[in-house]
Amino acid sequence: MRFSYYEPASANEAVEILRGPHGTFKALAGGTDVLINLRRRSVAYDGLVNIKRIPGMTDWQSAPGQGLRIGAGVPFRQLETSPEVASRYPALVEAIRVIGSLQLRNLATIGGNLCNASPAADSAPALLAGRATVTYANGTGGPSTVPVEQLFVGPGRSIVGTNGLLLAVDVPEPAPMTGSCFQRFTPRDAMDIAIASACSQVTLEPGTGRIDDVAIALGAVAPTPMRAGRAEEALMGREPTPELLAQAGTLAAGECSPIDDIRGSASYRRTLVEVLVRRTLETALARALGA
Amino acid sequence: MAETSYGLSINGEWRDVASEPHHSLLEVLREELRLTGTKVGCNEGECGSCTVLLDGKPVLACLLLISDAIGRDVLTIEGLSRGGQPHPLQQNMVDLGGIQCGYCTPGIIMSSYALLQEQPDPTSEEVRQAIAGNICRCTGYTKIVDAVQRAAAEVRETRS
Repeated sequence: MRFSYYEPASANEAVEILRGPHGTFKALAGGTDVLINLRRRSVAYDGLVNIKRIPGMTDWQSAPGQGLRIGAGVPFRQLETSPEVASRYPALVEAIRVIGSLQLRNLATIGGNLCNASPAADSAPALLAGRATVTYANGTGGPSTVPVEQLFVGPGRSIVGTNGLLLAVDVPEPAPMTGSCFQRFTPRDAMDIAIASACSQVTLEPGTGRIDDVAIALGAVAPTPMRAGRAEEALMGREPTPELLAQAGTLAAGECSPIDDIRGSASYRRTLVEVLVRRTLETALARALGA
Repeated sequence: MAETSYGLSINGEWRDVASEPHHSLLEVLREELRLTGTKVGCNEGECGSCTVLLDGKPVLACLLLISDAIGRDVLTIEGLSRGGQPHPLQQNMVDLGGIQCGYCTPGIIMSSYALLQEQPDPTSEEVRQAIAGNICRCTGYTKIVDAVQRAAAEVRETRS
């Protein structure tokens, strides 16, 4: 069996190979999903396209007032260990820290996590709640930039597809008086996959203390990571009382669609969502007040 | 696919190895270089027994392709002893009973070594966090944590 390996020097070159007629190739970043799937023979490729030599893929920038731009090939550990990222995007770092292990996060990339498109992907709820956008190329015209919720098409399927290339993730600068928090539930303290996860980002109106903006995202409780729109609606413009936060939790639990599987039952997951949404809202609010 | 020569630094020594781009660093270490201290456990990034340091950072050798290790600095368990003397991490694992079957040991020591580079005086919680990606089925971790903290103290002492 011939197995090919490419190290394209540009995004265009990479997409040409991925879309090309010479076989079915897979983009390789950290390899922490791709190599596992290859070895288990759950997929068969004719070769790998190592995208890490493409300029910009492994770079990230964060400037005050300018948000966070992350090349798709940036290993998680780099973001996790940046005090600046931790202070301005606490929920993102909270989410990153629970992924796999420390050793894994020195290899695993944010782009790979997104393109693998697990419904339980931990970076997803934080990026959804942070209103991140993703930029990708698929060979037709120039790169496209879309809100991250449009990236997820179904379990294990992303809009990037098998022939496209994710280029970057952009997280907008949080407004003043914004706080965020990510929490997930797993039976083990490490090396586990979310049974349910939630991320809340809240912006308060200065002076009134009312909720000026809110985003609540859920993971592992639907075919894709999702926003809890009805819970968000119930909070908008309101004063954040404990009763209101509890109500948001209940609404979020009702609007997700978890399944029964080996990790937990659908009803247990709904219960977890109710609790995790309330808790992440509470912490996000406290952080917004402290910000 | 034809064999290619890959150059990288292993335990401070430059080596040129013949391999193919889709082989993992773990395969190359064990099969080409006969450095069998780094273990094959799950071969899918879950157990940590293949932990080595790449440019000073702990990674899983089973998931790192040799082509991504070119020109880099790799430190394996074999590189920890100096002039035949075991590193305090190794000696304390032995002395304090942090080893039973020994299979997790090289990976756990590499993770602990990386910790001590960043945090020379770790709390037991910090040690547990640092080895959270290394599974041990035998010891229950307590004596491992004790060994790492005792080794950390010894390293601090030799430096002062």
